[in-house]
Amino acid sequence: MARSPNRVLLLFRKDLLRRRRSPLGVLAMIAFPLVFAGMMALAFSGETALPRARLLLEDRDDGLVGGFVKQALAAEQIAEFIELVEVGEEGRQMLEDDEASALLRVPEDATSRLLAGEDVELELVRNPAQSILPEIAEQVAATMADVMSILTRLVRRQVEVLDLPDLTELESFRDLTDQDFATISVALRHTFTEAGSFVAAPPIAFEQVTLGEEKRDEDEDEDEDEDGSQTGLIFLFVLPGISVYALFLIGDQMMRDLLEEGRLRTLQRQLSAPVTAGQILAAKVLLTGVVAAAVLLILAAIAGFVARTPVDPAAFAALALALVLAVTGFAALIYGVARTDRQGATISALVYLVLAFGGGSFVPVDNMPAAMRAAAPFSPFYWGTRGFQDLVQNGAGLADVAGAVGVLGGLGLALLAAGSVLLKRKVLRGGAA
Amino acid sequence: MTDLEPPFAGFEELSASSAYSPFMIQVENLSKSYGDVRAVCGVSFEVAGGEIYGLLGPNGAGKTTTLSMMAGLLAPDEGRIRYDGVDLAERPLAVKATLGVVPQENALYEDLNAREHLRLWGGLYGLSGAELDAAVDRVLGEIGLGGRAKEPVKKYSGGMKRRLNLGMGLVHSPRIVLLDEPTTGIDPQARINVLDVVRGVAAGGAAVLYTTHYLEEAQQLCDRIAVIDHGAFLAEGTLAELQDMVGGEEVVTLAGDFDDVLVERLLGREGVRLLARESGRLVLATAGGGERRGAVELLSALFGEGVKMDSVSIEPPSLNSLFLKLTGRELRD
Amino acid sequence: MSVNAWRRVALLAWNDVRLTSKDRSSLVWMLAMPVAMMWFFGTVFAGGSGGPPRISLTVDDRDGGWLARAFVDELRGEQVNLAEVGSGDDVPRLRTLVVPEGFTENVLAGTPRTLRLELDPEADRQFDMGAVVHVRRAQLRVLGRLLEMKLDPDFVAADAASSERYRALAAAAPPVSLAVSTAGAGQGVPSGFGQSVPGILTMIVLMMTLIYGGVFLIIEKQQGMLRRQLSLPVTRGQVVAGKLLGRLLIAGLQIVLLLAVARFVFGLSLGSSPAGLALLTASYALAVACASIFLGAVFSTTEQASTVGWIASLVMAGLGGCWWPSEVMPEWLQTAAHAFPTAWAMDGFHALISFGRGVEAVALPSLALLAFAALFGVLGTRFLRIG
Repeated sequence: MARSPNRVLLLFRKDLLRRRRSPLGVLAMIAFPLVFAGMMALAFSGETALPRARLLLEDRDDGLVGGFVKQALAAEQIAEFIELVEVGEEGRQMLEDDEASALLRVPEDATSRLLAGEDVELELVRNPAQSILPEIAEQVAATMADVMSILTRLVRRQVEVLDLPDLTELESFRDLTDQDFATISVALRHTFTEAGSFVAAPPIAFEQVTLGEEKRDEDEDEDEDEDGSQTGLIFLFVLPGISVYALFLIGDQMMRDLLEEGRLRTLQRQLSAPVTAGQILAAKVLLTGVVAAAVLLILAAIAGFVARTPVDPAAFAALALALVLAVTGFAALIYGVARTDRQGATISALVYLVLAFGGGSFVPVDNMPAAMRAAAPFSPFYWGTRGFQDLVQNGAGLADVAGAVGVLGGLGLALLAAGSVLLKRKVLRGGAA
Repeated sequence: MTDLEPPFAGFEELSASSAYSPFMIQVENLSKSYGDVRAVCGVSFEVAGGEIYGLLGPNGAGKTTTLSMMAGLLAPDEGRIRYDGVDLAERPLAVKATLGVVPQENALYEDLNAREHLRLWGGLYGLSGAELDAAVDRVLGEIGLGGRAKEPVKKYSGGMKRRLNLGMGLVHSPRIVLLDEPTTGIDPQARINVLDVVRGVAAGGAAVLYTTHYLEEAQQLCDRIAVIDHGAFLAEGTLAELQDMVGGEEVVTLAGDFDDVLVERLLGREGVRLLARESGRLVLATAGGGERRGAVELLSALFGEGVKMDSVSIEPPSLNSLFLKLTGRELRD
Repeated sequence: MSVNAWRRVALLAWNDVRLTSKDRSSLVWMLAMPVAMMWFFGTVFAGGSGGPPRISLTVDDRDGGWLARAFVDELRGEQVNLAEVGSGDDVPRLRTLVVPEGFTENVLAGTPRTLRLELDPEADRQFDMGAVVHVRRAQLRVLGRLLEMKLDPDFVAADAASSERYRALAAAAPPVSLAVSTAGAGQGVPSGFGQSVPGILTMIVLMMTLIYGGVFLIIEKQQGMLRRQLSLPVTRGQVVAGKLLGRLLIAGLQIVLLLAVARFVFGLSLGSSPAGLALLTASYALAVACASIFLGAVFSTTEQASTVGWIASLVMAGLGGCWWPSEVMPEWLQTAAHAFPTAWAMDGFHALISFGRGVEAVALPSLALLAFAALFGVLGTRFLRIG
């Protein structure tokens, strides 16, 4: 007599065959992280990390101050961040039409007021429909105002010390005599000479260092990467978090099938055969694990290809196993608790979305308020995302991902144990609540 | 006795050790309640090998609940179910291996084809290799799906799905077959095919329990019939025995307005019994058979008196009239 | 259409609304979830103040002299979450500015000392850049005052009066200042809830209408309910119109409720043009309703429809500017994104909420959305198989 086939494997193969015939759900979970990460990379890639802020300059002064502003903003170092466009009165409307990030207005009497010892206020109008580029424009303009303030104060100091003509009595800038110009030039030269040593070798220097990397001098070009690498970096930065989210959704799909079979009555039919509830459940758990592992392998392979850094196989295997356990455990518990497959789908969607957001799958944890940062490690998505990121971006080894493996694996086992008890009871009731 | 192979090792010893019975299905005092609702109350019956035993009753009578308990899907509140002398509750898996269950719902996987369904179910029942292949081919032939075995179920008609549903319960050549309304919602030709298959199964020695709410089916197919309503057996026996319970009476149904005086006068006639009286409808049983047909005499009298009637029907003794007699309702209601 | 025909269309539509409202999961997804997401993103990207996100900066003052303290004071500002090492402040050490020992004494004597900004490699680079700018500006201002002090012939480095002189210079108003304002009559720079509300609303309305609208249509196809409706004295067009109207009502109701939450719970101004808001949201609701008909017509299983609907929504939302300000994308992508209705909807919301403009500002976006509605509507009607 032929040996009886293993019923768990029979049921597992049946479900695998069904998935193969209707693969859209699984394919979507593979495509989703790739599409999402690709979209982010596309959106944020380019010659620089951000496009240049378009700054409109309305110079109503047409004097020293206006000239200085134009020169400063047109400087090479500033041009990397700012696209300067000189405009007239139409500038305000252009801004309202969302054609620029900000408008800088130099008031009409700026130069004469400054020379008269009065304060001058430059006006910056931001585009309310943008939030990042106007901020850049504001920082540049504010820095330029700082510089102008310093220079003005220095010149005024020289005016006081060197007893220069009273410029406030002049009707216009053009009324200055050659002697006046000479005196002012001498004063400025004196100022710059005195300040020269300060500027050349400022007593307060600055350096920035990224811990763990080579020291970066401020004059070095930080972005030595080409466009392609920048795109790849962003892709790899985003992919892990979204992939972990997709894995949990895979687990949800697979386990939900158990309740769906209850609804279709195929579960009851299986129970009328010499099959135990445990065997049915084991087959579903096996399916969940295998499909999740396969999806993870594909995503990790793609990430590894983009990163071009070798992925430690032992670390990958350990993290993959732990993730799959966590995914399966969560799904088992949720569907053990849910009354129907639709209810379970709603619960899991909500729970996973909250855990994903809170764990840093969509928004980096570092960008969150302090309270949320503190709560993040309580989410399995946090550990999954970190582990995956370390694997593909930093070439982490087994020791580096041990924490993530421990947390995910332990959590997964515990939830699987609890969920299995609930699910088994549910299976015995034919999938009913 | 049957000539079927023992279902598992040790079966014969087990059977011999229990009280010997020619019946392959023995149900004793089966009961099941859902809260205050008693779905099945103290049902008992036995089915022998080669016999088709019908459970006949309207929707909600308790047929499916009874069958679910017998298939091991529901735990009864009281009672015992034995198959070939082996208690289902004591050895569920072993007993299930001998059963073939055909549920009321089709319960199929839309993406799998007929062959895959049969191979899966045959495998779950312990078949493998050449034995499984042969069984699948055999069943595909019996249910007439050989030519479309590789198409996914979602492309099947309702009748084809029903036939596949039936085949899945038979692929492992079970000794005992439980069928829950297997012909619901299919065309007459498909129904004939199903009934033919069921007859073939019984002819092979299996004990068959067949639930239905179709009178004609029960009358054509079943060797014995139990009439069930509100969870309890109302009557049980062969068709002839059940018809005798009707007492050879004919059922006369009159539609119209009938006052109390008239009704009293009718009931005063010899051999006339009131079965049901509703607004605009009067159902009477009259002694029938032989030279005197009470129904004809009754109607002649009514016509002679000029009683106005909207319609008249006379029904010979049948299961419906038995049901009507027992419950006051028609089985068709 | 006759009055009776309209009545039948309305009945069909109302039936769909009722069916949707009976499904509890749809209520969760259509209302509870978007409100939670609005709150989450609004909080994460605002720090609760409604302004731009604050940069975390820790200072390790190893000197303690008056100039070092003055430098630290210079770093305080609205945009910085400043903490000091040893003070017990709970700020992650993402960026640490180290003020070295002997800073005050050496700088005043003209001997250079280096401020060192240590960056955590896992910290956000955008915030790192912001921190560098902030520190550099502080460096600039302090150097300017020191230079001014140095030019004073009476300046003596070690003189105790120098700290008083510095403080006087720091307290003085700058000769050149920058006054910052926002264009338009709207509520100002969108951040926090101002960014999250329009974006989340646009995305969720699209996603839920596509998925639920498409899925319910497929269920009706599968169950034969559509065919049954066609057996009524209605034309095929009237059946489709009924489906469309039902989805339009659901989307519209969702928009109204979410805007109400935005206004009364999150305190977001919705601009000054109710007519403009009504026109924009109605156009958008119609566009997504038609898209859901198209989705339900093209696909034959609920799994296909929900999966494709979900991914399409995410892509359209991301590229349309629902998640991040679209100005950070390359220009070509900003243009290409207008192939999606989400980009037009966000343009309209920015015009109304950020700029505070009137109905004329949303005329073009609304027209574009109506064009989408026409396109999806025609395609959906064409491909929908009933019976």
